[in-house]
Amino acid sequence: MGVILSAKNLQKIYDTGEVKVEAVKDISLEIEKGYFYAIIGKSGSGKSTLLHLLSGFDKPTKGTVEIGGEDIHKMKDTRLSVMRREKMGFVFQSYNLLPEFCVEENIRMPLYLNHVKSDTGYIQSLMEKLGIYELRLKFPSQLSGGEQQRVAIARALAARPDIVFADEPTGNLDQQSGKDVLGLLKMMKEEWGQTILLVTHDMEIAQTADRVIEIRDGMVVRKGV
Amino acid sequence: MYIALAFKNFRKNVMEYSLYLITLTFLAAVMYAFFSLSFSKIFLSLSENLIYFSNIIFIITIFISFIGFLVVRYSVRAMTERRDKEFRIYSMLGMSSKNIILMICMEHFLLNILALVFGIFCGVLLNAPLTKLVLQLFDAHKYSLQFSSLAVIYTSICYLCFYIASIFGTISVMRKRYIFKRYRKGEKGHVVSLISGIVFFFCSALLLFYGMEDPEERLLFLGIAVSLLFIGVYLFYNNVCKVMILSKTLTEKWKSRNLYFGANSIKKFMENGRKNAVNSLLIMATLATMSLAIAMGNIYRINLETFYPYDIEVLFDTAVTTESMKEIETYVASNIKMQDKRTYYLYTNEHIRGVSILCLSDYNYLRRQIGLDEKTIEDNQFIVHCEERRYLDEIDKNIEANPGIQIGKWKLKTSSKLIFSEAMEQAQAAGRNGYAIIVPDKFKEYMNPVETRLIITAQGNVAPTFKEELSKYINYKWKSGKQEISNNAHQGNGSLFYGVVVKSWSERNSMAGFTMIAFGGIYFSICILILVGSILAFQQYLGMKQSITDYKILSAIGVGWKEWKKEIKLEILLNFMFPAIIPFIEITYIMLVLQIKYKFYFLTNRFILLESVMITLFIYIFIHVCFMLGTYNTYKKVFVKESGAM
Repeated sequence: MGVILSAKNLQKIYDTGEVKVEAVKDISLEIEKGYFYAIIGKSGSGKSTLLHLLSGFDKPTKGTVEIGGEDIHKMKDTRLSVMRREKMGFVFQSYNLLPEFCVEENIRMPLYLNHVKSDTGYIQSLMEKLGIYELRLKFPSQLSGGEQQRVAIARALAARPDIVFADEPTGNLDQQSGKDVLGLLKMMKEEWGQTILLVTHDMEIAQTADRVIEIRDGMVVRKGV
Repeated sequence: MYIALAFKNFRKNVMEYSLYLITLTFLAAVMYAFFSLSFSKIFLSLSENLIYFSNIIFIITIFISFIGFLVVRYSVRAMTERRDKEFRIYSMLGMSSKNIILMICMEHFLLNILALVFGIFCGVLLNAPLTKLVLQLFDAHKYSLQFSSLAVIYTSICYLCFYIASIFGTISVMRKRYIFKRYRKGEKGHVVSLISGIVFFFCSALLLFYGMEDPEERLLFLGIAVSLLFIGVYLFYNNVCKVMILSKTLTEKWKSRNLYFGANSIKKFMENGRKNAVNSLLIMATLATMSLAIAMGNIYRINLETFYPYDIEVLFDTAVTTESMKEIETYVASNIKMQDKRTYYLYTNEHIRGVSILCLSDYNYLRRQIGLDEKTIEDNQFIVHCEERRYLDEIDKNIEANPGIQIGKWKLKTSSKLIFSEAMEQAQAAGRNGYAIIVPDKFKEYMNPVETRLIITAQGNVAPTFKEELSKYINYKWKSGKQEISNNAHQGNGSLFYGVVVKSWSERNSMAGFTMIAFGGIYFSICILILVGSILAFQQYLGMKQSITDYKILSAIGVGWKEWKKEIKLEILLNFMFPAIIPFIEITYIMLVLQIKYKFYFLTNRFILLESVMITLFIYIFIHVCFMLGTYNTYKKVFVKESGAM
């Protein structure tokens, strides 16, 4: 399948003046294309920090992250923004929808920003598969948590990214909704071949993934299938 | 795409932008009103000197625009911090920082355009009462509502400066990293700085009171006192709060009193030492400027009568014959209704060099003209008339040492009881060099006439244009063939110096000076007051995010919205009023000292300077109470909306 993301000797130290916190200590890993990865660890283990480093939201103290052969932390902001629009999708625990835009506008937002005419058929298909087509003209404040997360997933997939980063996407959902969302993520992966990198503290969720990476105290302790 | 986003965001955030919008609108209105006034033909026709008014207004506006950059920067910082999450979502979706900045710039562009349009509209309305007020000062009543396209252009240029400042402010804020410092407990430097600030206050106060005695060094001491005052204010505000944090007794008190409320607000407030210090300096500068502008205007109005007491004066620096002077009198009589006239001379004496001498009858005539009592002296006495305070003390000392002068074979004496100092426009009419000696008429023949004066009292008003007419008559018609002028030339003077003073012309042009100083100062001060109010409001907004977070946590454990509202009120009150306390006290003290020291110059028993400072404080409190209420209401609405408080 090929390696889509490669991280080498990643380290992240937070220096607050009096105390230094080493959130990530020397992590190297390779993410293969087309697989569903779960990064699992307890609270404070460094899994979210790792995800932020891999997605370019945070700069490492040491180490490199390459996507498509390019070190994302050496890119200029403009180039990185283009990469985020074209190759990456993001799903967060708190949905992060834009409240002043309706569902359909939220989903199409990455395409608007990329000045790309959206494939109406694809977007409609995406909404139907995620069960939110009837809600397309509603605003985020009118939706439940599960519905908002579906919209967030649809937005993450709208530009057909190569890789989707999901940080505790089921954290704010009830059990059933959480299962539904996971199922949808897997289905999207099967249908369109995205690579999914999901962070969770829940072993049950992790077990639905193709590959599991376990983090403890900022270090990878297990890479498994 | 970004225009649509900017427009949508603008509509979404209109409530938070409201204070910023109102500030910019008010600024635009005030700028337009003053620019419009300065370009108004009706206004400019009142006096020749008023042509400089537009230059002064423009220079002041440049300063205001520069300081307005601070407001823009604060507002951009406050708003971008509030919308930090939104911008992170845009980044996540692939919007570059450049495009986020572009979007914010477009939002600001919309704001500025709206403010400019509303502001100019309000300015047209504001211009009406402003122009009427100024016309009343000049006793002119012809007025019509006017729209000035030139004022629109000038106001728009200033707005372009604000907009450019907002772009720079946005870029700076978006790229800036916030470094959060912790205060290290036990720093003795703060205590030393605080004590230094208090010492500077006292030194400044002492210098103001005792250092102004010597006229030669007055300005120097005033400058030092004001500098010490500003440094003292800065040191005081920058360190008083930090010292209170360091104080164990106080920290224990406010911690134990109420775990969160009051303690939190006070703690947050105490950590803003530098902001309070800068705000305090701005407030001090504003109050000083406005007080002085109002005071100078009032004093000038009161003193105006004494500067130009005579309807028409004609002055020659040579002795002109009475026949020649009669020609001028005839000319004046043919042009205006004359009530009274008098030609007289200023003399010198070989024994008394450099001092003008007046005859008693001429002196008493001048006193009658301006409503003063006439003086009588013995044949062996003389009077000293001195309007300049700086000479009065020295004259007093000299008379004590040597109270006599020699005219011919007579020795004349005087005493401190024969020194008078009423304002008689002495600089020209009743002598030169600030003082004159008055002797009985019988000594005329023993003195040399060296200067000629003609004083005319008119029936009714004299048109200001008569000054030019009379000057032209004297220069082009009257002068030719006059022997005394040839004599003057023969003596090497080259030309005849003469002066024509027409009261109505002088008053109008002096009023121009008063108008420029007073209105310029008030314009500057009000704009700075508005800007300071905005800065304080946006400082309040900067803390909103943390407040909302705190509230959400505490409301979950039973803290109600009612208690929280008190918290917000306390915060806003502290932020707005604390930086103003020392400036209020200091400005009142300075004006009190100046009132005591300089009352001699005011020619009125009114406490002019104290009246000015009371008016200033009233205007300050009014504007800032409006800002406080506006800030509180907007803050509360946004807080309720975002936190879900009921």
